[in-house]
Amino acid sequence: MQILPINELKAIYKYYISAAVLLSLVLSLTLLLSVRVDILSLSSVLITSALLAVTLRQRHLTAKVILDCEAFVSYSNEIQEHCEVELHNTESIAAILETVINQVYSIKTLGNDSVSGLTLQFSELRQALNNTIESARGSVENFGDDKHCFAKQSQEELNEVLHSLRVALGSKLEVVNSNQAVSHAAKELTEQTKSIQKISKEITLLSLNASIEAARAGEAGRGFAVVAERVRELSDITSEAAELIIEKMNGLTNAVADNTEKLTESQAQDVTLMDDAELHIRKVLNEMATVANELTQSVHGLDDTASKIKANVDDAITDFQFQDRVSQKLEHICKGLTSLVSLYRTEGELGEEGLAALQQEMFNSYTMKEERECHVSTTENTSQHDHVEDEVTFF
Amino acid sequence: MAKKIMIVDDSASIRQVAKMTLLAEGYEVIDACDGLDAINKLDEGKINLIISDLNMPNMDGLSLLKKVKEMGQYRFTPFLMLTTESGADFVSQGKQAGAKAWMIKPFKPEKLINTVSRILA
Repeated sequence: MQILPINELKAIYKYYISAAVLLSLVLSLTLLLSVRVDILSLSSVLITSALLAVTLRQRHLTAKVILDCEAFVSYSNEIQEHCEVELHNTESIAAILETVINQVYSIKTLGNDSVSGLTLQFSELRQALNNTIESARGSVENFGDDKHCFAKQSQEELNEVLHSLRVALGSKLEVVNSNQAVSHAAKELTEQTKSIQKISKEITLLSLNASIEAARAGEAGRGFAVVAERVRELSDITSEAAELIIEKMNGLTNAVADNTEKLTESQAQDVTLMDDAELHIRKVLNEMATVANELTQSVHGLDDTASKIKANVDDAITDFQFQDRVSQKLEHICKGLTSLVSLYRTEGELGEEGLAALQQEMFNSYTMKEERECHVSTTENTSQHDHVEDEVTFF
Repeated sequence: MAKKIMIVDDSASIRQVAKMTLLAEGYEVIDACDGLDAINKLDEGKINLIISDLNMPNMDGLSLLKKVKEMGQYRFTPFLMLTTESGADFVSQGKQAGAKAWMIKPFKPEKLINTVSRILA
């Protein structure tokens, strides 16, 4: 819709003025000249015509003014509506931005709390892993050190026990051998005693012969008969003593033989038991050595695994610290948005100057290199700048 | 006797990580949430090392560093700046103010331990 130009409005008012002047002029002439009825009639016609013309023009102009006014009002309404929409949008944007800021702060707080809890848990996990690794390494040292190797120490001690048992078994064998020697000596003594007994019998026989020969000699052989009788008596005593010795020696020999037999049987059983025991002990020791070796390897494996987990936990703890960077970035974004809201509300619009000042304010609030890089090169992929300056500068 | 370290950071998670890391190494650790809090806690006893963030509410790390250097008791106490700020201007300001080292966050626990050991050696 067209708006009424100012020049046309001026022309309309000029026309009104001209018409009024003309009407006044005609009326003045009519009155001053006091002309006749014709003139009056003419004047009346002129006046009527003029009034008619004026009236017509006035009606036309009035209609146009009305139309233009309507158009103006309509345009004004449109402008007003437009202005209201603009104002409404500005307020809406500000309100939306404030909502966004509140949401970002809420997310920031939630993130901080969550990551803080996770960090604490992972830090405790790291400490527990440290303790586990220390404990595992201590166990490995105990198992792995030759001087203190549990399996080797056990093997040495059991070998000593086996050696002692073999020494004891050897002593038992010596007793058996001694017994056999005693038995052999007893048999020899028995044989010698039997020889003595045999000699004694022969002496008895000789003494009998001597007694017979003494009796045959008569009075001259009486003394010799006494001697022969005495020899026979001594021979009988010797024979009886020999018989007693043989009997005792037989008892002794039987006892020694019985003892030797039992000892021999026992020794054979001991040897078998010793061999079995040694076999079992060596088997158990080998198994223990294998178990100890496997245990050592397992502990080494656990140590390695725990170290890897610890490294992963360390990485996780490091990654959690990005929440601090994220939190700071969110804080900077919120501050920038707050300034934008303030600018919207105070200025009503965003001029280039205001935007430039806001951008500079945001840039000055940054604390991280990637924030500044992201700010100045928004067209680049921001992930390229999300690197970590893992460095320490010593002064 | 264990050496005492003060950790100053407005981020609770950073304080926790640093604290647990250093406690595990046998250090005694106290923490503060900003520079002002740190100043108040400096009276609690001798501190062997101060580890501080740069950007914090109430009092930032550089202001804390300058304040600490004005205190007779802590004039020679080493100060490690632990911050996300890597701008050369800030690093230079830290050096001029008397910081011993400037470490960028996030940090690996082992890196912090090595840095602290080197400073306290």
